Amino acid sequence: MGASFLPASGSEFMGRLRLSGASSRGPALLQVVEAALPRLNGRQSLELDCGDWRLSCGDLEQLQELLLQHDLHPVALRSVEPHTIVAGAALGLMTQPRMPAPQAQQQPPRPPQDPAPKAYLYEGRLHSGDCLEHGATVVVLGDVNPGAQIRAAGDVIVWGRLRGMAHAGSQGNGAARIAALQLQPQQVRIASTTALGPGEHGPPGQPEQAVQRNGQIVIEAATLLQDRMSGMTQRAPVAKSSGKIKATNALHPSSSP
Amino acid sequence: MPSSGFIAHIDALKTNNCRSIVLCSGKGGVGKTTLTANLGVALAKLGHKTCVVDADYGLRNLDLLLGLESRIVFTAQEVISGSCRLGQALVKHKHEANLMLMPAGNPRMMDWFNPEHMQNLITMLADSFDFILIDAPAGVEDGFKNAVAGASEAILVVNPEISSVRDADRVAGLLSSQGTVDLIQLVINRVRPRMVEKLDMMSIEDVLDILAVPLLGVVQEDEQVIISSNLGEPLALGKYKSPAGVAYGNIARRIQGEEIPISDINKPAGFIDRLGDFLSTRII
Repeated sequence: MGASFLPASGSEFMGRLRLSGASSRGPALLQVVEAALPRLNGRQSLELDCGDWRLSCGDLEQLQELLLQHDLHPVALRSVEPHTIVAGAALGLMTQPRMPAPQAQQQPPRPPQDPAPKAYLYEGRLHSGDCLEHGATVVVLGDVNPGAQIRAAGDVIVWGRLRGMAHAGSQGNGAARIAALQLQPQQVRIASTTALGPGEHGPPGQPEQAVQRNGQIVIEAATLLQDRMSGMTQRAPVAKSSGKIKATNALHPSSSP
Repeated sequence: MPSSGFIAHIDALKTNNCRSIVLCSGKGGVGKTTLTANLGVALAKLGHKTCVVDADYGLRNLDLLLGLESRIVFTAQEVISGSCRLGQALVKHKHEANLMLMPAGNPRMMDWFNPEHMQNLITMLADSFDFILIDAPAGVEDGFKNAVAGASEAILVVNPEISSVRDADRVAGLLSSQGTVDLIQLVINRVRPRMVEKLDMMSIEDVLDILAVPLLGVVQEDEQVIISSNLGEPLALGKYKSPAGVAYGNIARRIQGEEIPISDINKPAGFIDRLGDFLSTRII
């Protein structure tokens, strides 16, 4: 199996190349893909659906080259594998996380509105320019450097220092939160609310979280996950804040379109 | 500091007994070319056969800094197109017999040169050299990808300023996601201890805090660097005594695996040093 190609037709303006089954890399990857490619008349934009394949920048670059030879122009990439998404974003592809869903032919692989309970784990440091997106909660074991971005439909949890941009509840979940061992983001977004980061970090050894209260994003001491789980879906927007609100003045809430 | 495990790691990196190291920074003007020229001289002085490769095809400068511009006959372009032999293009340094320059061809090379060409060039050079230093162009586009393609190690060159650190971080991310380079090390260039002391400049710790890349060396801002660049005589030749020249030598020795402590540049200078600084700035 390996790779299958769905040409653009009717409602779909882009062709789609889906990689499935056992993952392969390097020359084997190119062979697998080449076998699946048809001869086309005229150029076509293409979405790469990489499934759970873990591909490096080098792999994707070679793949891109092969596809260009077949007049297929990759513009977007879907994957459930964070490393592949980060590599794709580094190459300038539009990246979209894909929910691991049963391979239904008719079902468009669009992430569902509600964040799935599955969390994503990324181990390592996110460097400036890296962009990690996922349709559920994202957990990063490592630092998020200035200039890096994380977008998650659920929470963003960083076991390390968060110094880049984080967007939790990217599909509209206002109860999502952004938590980090050291929270010093350049900008935080929760659902459609945007705020500037506080500039400095909180007391050392104190994990913090950014949550939305009364339409404003505030930073406070991180709460236990269990406390939150109980009221996760129906958190009252005017809940009395439990922790110390830090740097509220430094946060300038504004609605993004 | 290099530990024994680290040195074992360096040994493992050697293929054909040759180490190919790319010097890159993302941002321009941080001192990549100057560092390449000086490390080339310093490694050659330590007895290693060293080749410096100018991979900045658009804006070539390495030949100028080494004072070899007038001696170039053939370039990498002719080597790759097969119109000359490798040995014909290599330019031997005037004073350091162990140092050779592989000059860049004309700027049109940018249009056709690709990573495979670079890999071929480095493979050809690897047989006759202990060290190959590749001077990458600024930016993270094709020129950078070409320069990196032939290297198994990278040295990130960074100035203690926020834009340089940010760009270097991007480069570090690209290098690690491409996965072709096994070892990344950091040289912090053009540090002004006096400004760091007054908290007007990022300190070594601030830079390391963001980049988290092993530190290979620190070079102070030094007027002699500019003077020697204009003369085409790298400081590492040792004609003039200067802090930067010493730092280049130390970096070269750390590259070959020696354990040399990095002196604490943030330490406030003593009275004698200050007096010396004062006198030298007045006299020269």
